[in-house]
Amino acid sequence: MSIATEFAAEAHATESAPEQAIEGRSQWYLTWRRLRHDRVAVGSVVVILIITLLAIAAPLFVSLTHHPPDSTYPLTGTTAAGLPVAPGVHGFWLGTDDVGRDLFIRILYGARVSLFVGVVTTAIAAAAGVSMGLIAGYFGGWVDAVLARFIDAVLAFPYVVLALALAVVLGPSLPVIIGVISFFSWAAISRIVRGQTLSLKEKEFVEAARSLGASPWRIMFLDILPNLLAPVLVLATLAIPQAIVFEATLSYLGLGIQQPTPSWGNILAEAQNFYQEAWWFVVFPAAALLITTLAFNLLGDGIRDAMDPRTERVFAAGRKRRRRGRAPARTVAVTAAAGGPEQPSSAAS
Amino acid sequence: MTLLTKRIAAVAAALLAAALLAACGSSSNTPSASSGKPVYGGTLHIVAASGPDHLDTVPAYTTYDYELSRAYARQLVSYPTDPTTVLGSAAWVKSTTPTADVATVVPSTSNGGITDGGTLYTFHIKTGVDWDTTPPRQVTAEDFIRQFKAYCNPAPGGFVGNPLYSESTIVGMTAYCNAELAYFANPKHAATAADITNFQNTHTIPGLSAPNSLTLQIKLMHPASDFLNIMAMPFASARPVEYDNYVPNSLQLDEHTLSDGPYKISSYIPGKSITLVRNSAWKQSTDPLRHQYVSTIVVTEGVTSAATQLADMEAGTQDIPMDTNIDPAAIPGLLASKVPNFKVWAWDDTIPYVVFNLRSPDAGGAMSKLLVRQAVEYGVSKIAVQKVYGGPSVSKIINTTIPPGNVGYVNFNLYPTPQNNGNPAMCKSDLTKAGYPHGVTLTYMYQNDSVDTSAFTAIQASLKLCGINLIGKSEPASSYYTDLGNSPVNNKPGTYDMASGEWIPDWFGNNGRTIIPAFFQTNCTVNTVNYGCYSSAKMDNLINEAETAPTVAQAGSFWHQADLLALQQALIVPIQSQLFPIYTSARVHGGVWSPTIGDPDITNIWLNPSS
Repeated sequence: MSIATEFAAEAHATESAPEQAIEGRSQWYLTWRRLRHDRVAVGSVVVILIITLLAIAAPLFVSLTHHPPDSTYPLTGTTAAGLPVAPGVHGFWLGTDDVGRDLFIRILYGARVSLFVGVVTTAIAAAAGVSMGLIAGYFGGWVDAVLARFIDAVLAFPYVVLALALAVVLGPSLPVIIGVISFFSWAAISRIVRGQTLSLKEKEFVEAARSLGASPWRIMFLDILPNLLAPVLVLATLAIPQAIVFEATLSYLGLGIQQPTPSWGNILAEAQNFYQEAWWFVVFPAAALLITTLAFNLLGDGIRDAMDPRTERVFAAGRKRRRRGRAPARTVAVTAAAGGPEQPSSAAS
Repeated sequence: MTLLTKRIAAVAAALLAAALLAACGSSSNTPSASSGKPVYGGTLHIVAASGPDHLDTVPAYTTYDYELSRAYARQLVSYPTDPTTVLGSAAWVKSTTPTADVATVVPSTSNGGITDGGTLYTFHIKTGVDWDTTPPRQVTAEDFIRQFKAYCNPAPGGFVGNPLYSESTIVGMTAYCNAELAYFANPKHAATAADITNFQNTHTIPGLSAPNSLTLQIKLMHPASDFLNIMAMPFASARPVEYDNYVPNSLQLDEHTLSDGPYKISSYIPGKSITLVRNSAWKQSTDPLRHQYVSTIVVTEGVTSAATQLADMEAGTQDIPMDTNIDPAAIPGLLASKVPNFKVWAWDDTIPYVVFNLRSPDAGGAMSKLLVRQAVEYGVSKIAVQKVYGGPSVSKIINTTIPPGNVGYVNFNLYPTPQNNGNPAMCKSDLTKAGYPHGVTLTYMYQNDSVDTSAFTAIQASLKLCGINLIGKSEPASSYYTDLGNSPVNNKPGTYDMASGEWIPDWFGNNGRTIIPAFFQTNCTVNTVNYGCYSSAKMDNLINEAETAPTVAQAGSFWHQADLLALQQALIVPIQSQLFPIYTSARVHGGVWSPTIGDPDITNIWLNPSS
């Protein structure tokens, strides 16, 4: 067969291929499709949902057990020697704490605090970080120089020490905790956004928008920002567990959420003297903290991998091997404009 | 996962593993060596968080001050050490009854030591009781008079333990102190060591005289059946003439202490360590109360964690505690282990109690309203607080200001609640009658250590049931009692409405003077123990009647009436009286507990093995 004949045959084959096999898919769809096949990430989502639902439903459990979170039960919630009672005793599902409060209920209410602090501080940090990064990256020049050095300065702070000092000076309270954590979380996001903006502002679509007379603010927030959502989402997902742990750390040190409001950190602070006599007092809140932060971290890793298939994780390798025997997909994905060049799914399998 | 979250995850996992291992593990206490004949030698290691507050015996007023000063400061009369776990037992009575120390005998009417209708006490001083000077010098009557004069320390910020005992008994003591304070209040008269000494050497206290160097006579304003107890306080130690070179309670004095006891301070590094060695000037023949069993005593300061201190003593690297109570969480396990080097010793105190700041203007002056205070009396769950402290094996719930076993104690309870767990209904009823039908928010001050924080949490939870919302205000131990007794500012908004207090009687038995007057006598001054600044002519009269009563029984009757009045007025909420659990290293024997010191008696401890 001559070369001309081969080209003709391929051209014919292409023309005769069914038209519905070619689909345009957005990066978000492809990310979701990869994510839902990542069992670790899906498991993490399930865990986070369960913890969130338990936190939301905490008052229902209070009405079920009749144990408000800050009520003590000196007669039934502690032994004669004043030690916490074990799980299952006197209707305390996970036992009690040192003053006879229901540990299960307090862990649930602690989850409310932890998730609230994690989500709110991350939202504040993301909003501030994206705004500062966009402004620094887009305007450049002295604006960039000033903001970039400020970002560097914030990142260079020994933040745990400074956070402790601020908590001492301003007094421990929920708004102070949220403010302190947010202040130390936005800079990392801002630095990534600045770098991406420096690159994106040189792209043709930005040039086009500028030539059409779009204002800098419109270009930043309507043209560039949508292209930054992917890395920001990954960073935000990973920032939530950091914020939860940060809050727990401050509360553990007595400078975060104050008694009688429960938080996992202040429960662990109380429990440290009882680890020999009442294992449940340490194990359950520590497990809640561990599982929640682990779930958010694994979900963040999963989202990052799903958005950037060049970074494959060890857990994902098993999935690839299992898919090897399946027939190659017949579709050819067309990458949406927002993402980078996408690999055909057949190549991935 | 970021580096931080990985670390935290690792810590959380380690906590989980440690707790699970602990749950499966068992105690590893070392059995104590058998008791027997005292062994001489060795170094006694004392572990402390911050160590003694004062080495000068005039301002020294804590149990850990007393623990150390027992070794280098002697009194005319003092207490033997006979550790007991039974309150009121023969050993308890022996340990709380003054016997002769520097004095040849305890003065009594039968031996002619107490005359003039009980108003003249004559003490004869033993020969051979020497200061560790070169050469050793006899302790004299003037040395005791010098100490009484030092009670009126006029130095700025000068702190004095409790001068009220002597000022309320000894003729001319109050006038002397007032004169000295007035003299140095003049800006022209600086309170230097030389000037203070000059004033003291040119003025006398009429009630104190020294017919000769070995005889001290003390004239009282009126008979005082507890005067020997006052003289057994470390405040009444001998004071060498060398101390005139220093301002009382100064660092310079602390660095140049002299000893007439079995040990002397050889090294003092503030905040770090204190070392005592045997005092060669001391003679066992002159001192029936103390011994020189161990060769050296080393106080290591800066170990703030009770758990670390316990671990150190279990490992044998430290021997006895000083200023840190054993962690209540460890008590059940130690009791169950039945190790002989852990015991719960008899004691008699009011720890803790709740005090009301009667002058607080907060919440419409709620604390000045009797019904609000009575609501709190009903609302507090005493059993919840007791369990925070370790339960009934280490404390007993009390309902009176005077704890059981002391003169004036009568068992009554004006605010009974079921199982001592509070009565929210009565609490709410009183609160409504007081004009707070929708509850009231008050500030509660407490020390920020783990036990006091948990006690506050228990009180807060119990009062919330009847609508009293407590906002916690925690303070470090170093400033807590200064702020609590800072009466000039405590009538301002936002200071505190209620607070936790602790009180240990300065002596036991005939000790009404050490309880009721401290709590309730009109004394709204800086450093007052009457934290609420209560003032009542009726109360003051009862105190005066009790202090001048000719017999202990009559005094007891007045003390009880004062106690009853205090609870009718709901001035404090007595919660419990603590016993004293101590863990020592396995090699510690002898005087591991003295109720009048409130800590171990280091002059009666011996070590086996000693090295």
